[in-house]
Amino acid sequence: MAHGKKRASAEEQDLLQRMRRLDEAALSAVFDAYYEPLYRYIFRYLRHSQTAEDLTADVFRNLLEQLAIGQGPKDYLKAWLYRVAHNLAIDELRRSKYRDHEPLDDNQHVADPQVGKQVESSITKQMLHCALHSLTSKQRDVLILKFLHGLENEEIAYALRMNVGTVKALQYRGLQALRRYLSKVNAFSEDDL
Amino acid sequence: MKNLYHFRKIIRALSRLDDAPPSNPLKRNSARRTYLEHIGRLRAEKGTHLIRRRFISSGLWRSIAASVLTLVLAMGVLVGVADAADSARPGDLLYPIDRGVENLQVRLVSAPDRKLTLLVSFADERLVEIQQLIETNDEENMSIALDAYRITILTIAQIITDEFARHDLLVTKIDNQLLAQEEHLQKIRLRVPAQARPALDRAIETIRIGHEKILLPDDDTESTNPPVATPTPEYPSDSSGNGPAEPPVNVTAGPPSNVTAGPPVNVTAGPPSNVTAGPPHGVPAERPTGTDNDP
Repeated sequence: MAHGKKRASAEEQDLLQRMRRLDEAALSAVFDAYYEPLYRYIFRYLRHSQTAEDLTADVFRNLLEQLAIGQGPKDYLKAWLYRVAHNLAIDELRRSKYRDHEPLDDNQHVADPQVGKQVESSITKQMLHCALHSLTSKQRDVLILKFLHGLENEEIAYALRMNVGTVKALQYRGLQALRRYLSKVNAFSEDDL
Repeated sequence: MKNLYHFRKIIRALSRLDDAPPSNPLKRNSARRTYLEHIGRLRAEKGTHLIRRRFISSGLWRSIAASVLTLVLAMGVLVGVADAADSARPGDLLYPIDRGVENLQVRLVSAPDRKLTLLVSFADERLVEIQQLIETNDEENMSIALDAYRITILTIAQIITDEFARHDLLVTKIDNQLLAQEEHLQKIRLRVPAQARPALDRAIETIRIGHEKILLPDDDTESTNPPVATPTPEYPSDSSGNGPAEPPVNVTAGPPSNVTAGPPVNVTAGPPSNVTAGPPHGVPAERPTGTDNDP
């Protein structure tokens, strides 16, 4: 998969080298830095906190096992962790077939304008959730990783195994779809759009 | 990013869209503890694991195993071939291997007597081969066997010559010392009073007797003691009493052919006894019957 080359900083390279040596301080720092964001990322898929916590712990166990056999992250630590989290979350979804929030399509939302009308010229979380679920899964994944978790395009490309160009396109189309949706439900004023 | 400017409000709203409840601190601490224990276990295993992995990945174990296996196979093949070649005759495929193994055996033995014993047994083997080839009228291979027999006998002769030469050096050294002592006593004898001379004469005579005993062994020891190389005024009579025998052996002169009184080696006519005039070390002492026809 040809994702863009964004070289890790010297600081991150040093961290990766220490991780490969199973340096406890470095690995502890990684755990402390990424446990919560990964938990939130997985929770977004599963909507189940205990499962999300278990899977987050699995991400770090996976990290240690890979490092022990000389594998693991080479350049993108953050993207590597999100990729593992993404895979675990998707696997769990497929396995349990459990979702407490079914993705909604555009027609359903358009057909239910009451949701938008309940909000007066402001963006509510509920509405935005609905808007997000109106997107394709890839668009949603890209937007969540980009704007909620702060990953760079190259890191998103690595995490989701796609090209940087694809990431940019999905991002743009996702935002366009969001705006279209929100304009339909009058969530934004004309000036905002 | 310029395009995204138009979506700034949506982006700002998205970035605030984090509705996940905070993780359970207890569960998080438990996960962290498990994580750290896992690190500790991996660090403990790292040494042996790394050594094993490097050993395996380096291919060193494969090289060692391959070498050992090759060595064992080669040894097995060599032993098998050598065993099979032992009964090979001239003309057989394995005959050169048989000769090679014999040569190796001779080279590996350092003691002259053991070496001679081996060579004599090989000479016997050659004779058996010659006998078999005569029975089958295989003249071509018979000549090969005869050559091999001749070479074996020459080797025996060479070893015997070398042993004589080594012995002869010692005899010459002692003899020279006795001569010097005798000359010294002669000089002393001229200076002493006449009544003291008989004692000196007896001492000088004793030295002469010893000198002769070294250089000219008695008849009963003649067949076992090696002949000497130093010039002597006379030679012991041969066993038939027909006067002095030929000078025994010119052991310092060179090749084994000089060892014999007559023709160097009668390889076609008889056993190894033809090598020397009076060979010690158990080599048969009888003269061959066919020496008149020798080349």
